[in-house]
Amino acid sequence: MLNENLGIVYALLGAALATFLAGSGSAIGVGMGGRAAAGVLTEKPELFAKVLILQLLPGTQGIYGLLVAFVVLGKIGILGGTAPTADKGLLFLAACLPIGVAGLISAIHQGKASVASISLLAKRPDSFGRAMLLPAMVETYAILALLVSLLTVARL
Amino acid sequence: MAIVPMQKMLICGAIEEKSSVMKTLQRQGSFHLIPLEEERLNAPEVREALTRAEKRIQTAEQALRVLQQYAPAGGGMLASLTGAEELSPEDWEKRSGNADAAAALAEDLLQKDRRINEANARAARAQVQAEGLAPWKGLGMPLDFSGTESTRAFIGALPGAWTDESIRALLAEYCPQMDAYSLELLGGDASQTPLVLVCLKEDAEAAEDALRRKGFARPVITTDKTPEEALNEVKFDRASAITEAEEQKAAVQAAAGRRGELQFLYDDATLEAERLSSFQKAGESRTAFFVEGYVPKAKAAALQKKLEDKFTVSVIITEPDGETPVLLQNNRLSAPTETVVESYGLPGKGEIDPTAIMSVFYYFLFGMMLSDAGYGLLMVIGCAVALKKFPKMGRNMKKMLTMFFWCGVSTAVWGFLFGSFFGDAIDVIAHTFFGVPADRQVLKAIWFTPLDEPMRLLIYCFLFGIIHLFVGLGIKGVLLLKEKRTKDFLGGVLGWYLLLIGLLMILLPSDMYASIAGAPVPLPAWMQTAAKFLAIAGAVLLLLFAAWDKKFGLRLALGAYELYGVTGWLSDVLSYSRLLALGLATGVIASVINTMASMMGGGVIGAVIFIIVFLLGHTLNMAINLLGAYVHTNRLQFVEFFGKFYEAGGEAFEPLGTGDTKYYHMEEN
Repeated sequence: MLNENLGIVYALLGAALATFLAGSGSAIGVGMGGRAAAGVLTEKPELFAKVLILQLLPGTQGIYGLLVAFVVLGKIGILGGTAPTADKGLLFLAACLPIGVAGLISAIHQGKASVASISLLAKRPDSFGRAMLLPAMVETYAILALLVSLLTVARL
Repeated sequence: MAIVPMQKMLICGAIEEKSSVMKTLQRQGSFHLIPLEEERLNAPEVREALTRAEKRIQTAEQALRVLQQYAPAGGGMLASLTGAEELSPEDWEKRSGNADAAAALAEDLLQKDRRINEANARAARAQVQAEGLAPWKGLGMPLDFSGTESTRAFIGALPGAWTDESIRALLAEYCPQMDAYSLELLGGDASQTPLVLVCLKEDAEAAEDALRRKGFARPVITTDKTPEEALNEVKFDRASAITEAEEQKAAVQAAAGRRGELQFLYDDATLEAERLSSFQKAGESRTAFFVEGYVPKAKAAALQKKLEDKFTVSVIITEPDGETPVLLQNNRLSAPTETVVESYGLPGKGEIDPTAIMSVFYYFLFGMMLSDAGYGLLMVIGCAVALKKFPKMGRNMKKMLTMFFWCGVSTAVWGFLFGSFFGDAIDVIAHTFFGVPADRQVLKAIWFTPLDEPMRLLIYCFLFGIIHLFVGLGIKGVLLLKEKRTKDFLGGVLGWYLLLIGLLMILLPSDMYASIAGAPVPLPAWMQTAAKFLAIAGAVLLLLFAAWDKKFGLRLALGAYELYGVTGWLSDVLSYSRLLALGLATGVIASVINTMASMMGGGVIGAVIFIIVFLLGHTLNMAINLLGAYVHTNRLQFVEFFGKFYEAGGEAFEPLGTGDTKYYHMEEN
């Protein structure tokens, strides 16, 4: 019984990892940003829109994880497609790892960069462009991981 | 289309006219003052006036805050769009004459606010006292009564609940010799038991000791009145304090109709302070003054005429020799993205305004990242409505909305090219509610569907990236050639072009490319040979000219290091893969929302649930992806594109003007 379903178990494990690792990273990152943003807002409430954007920057990793998970779900017979064999299930699992792990770590570090950018903005409200750019650099690596995950899953 | 050319203007005149000349310059709003090397100490009356203006700004601001607290004016979400009220310079002048009355009003409001605060504090204090007196209510003697000639009275409370017997037992235990005393309990509860003990003077010490052992405490409040009387007094105090606070509040609220005067006072004082502080940056002697600044060339002659007609001043216009402050001017399509360039930095010495070229790529890349026709059309409609409905919104807000309008147009175009309208909403609706067979596609992509052929889109992303980067490099080349730095051009630009084009032509027919794209691009043999020569020629140019001004050995070593920069190019191009990733993110999540929305199937209930999930889901998805597209378009421009040619570092053109006001705006004349 287990053997028959082993493929889908592996694949689901992959989808779960992609969602929860990347999602946890984003939650940590956005949480850090939120605390810093709330601190700035006590003194400068007019910066709300800008610090909100900075706070949200580490939130994208969670979305990327979700994205990969959905594409997987659409291929293994849950939202569409057919149940994979055990080998193929393992391949799905492997394909989900890049966005899961890189998403987790990059979101945490992007959160730290966001916190720093929020303090930068608090002191120099006119440097929003630069403040936004610094955390966005970290995201590059999440995007690269997403790309590898997505291209692999799409091909499987 | 570029940086506005500037001219230098020197104005000299009689000291009596300094103030009027400054006012005119401020009204015209096109004079960027060059401050004197050392700030001069001006006449004391100027300093006094400046202090007064600054004080007025502060008072008006505080008074407005007081007014807002007791008589809030509805702001709401769209308040930032309505913009400032326009006033003609004549009306401004007229209202300005009323400034003293407004300042008096502001002072009056601040005083009322202080009174309200004092009254509130009094009421709060009375409340505390009333609470402190409450337990002693039944006491028929003054609270500070300490006894008669031969007796002592202890008025206070024991913590916890006590009865008459338990206290008597306590006294019997610690002062057994005491037999004549009077004890009265005044109610009390579980937390404390108020009591009055009257005993003979000689027993007082022992009795006090007994009570102290159990934590006896005298009342916090001491008064020579009976608690009843004191309580009545306190209650009266509190009532009158509350009444006073209410009266003052009502008086503040009655002034709500004069809010405009305070706002005007704030703006008028802001302009005055700005003008007066520029006084200190202008030179003056006992009888004359001079001030120097930059004026846009197109406006210089008109300003000169205006000044010379109105005043007895001498105005000298010269061509500037060094760097001038930077003002950007672009056509209607590109101007909105000036804010993006400004947030990176204005063009420095010898640089061009990159706005026009950048804006085209900006809209193109933004649209590709969001790439949904539905979201694009929403942006277009939203921005167009806001721009139409609130024509007086601030300048930067207007630029921003116009920019998103064009981004929306691009997003809609890309959406139709990729066949995405709120994801696959049209197909899902057709299949769920109108019985279209599931295998028939209703909205077809004009170009191709990214999720079906991600590799194909990835290749296109790289192609657009290479074009973007090559344009950036090209701008650098043009600038270098303009400055006649041919060797820098050979080593910094031409070398890269040759090497990269050569490498690309070697890559295209290779197996490696075939394995990514699915099929190689066959190039004729002569081109393949040419590719090798191009790459070698480029590499040699880089090797020789990247550091041509150094000694031979160092020159080659630095040249070789420059060749290593090819890895930088690789990562720059790879960076454009975010176009694919973000585009897919929008599309896939939109499709997921549609799938979830249609899970209840057709029928009325299905339709209602569909609409709810659809609205919530797409709002969220659009917001998040808008943010993503905005951030990453900026990144591609700032890091990849500007990195190739643009250094920035220019000083902004900040004329003495009337733009810093908050509530009113002076019309230009």
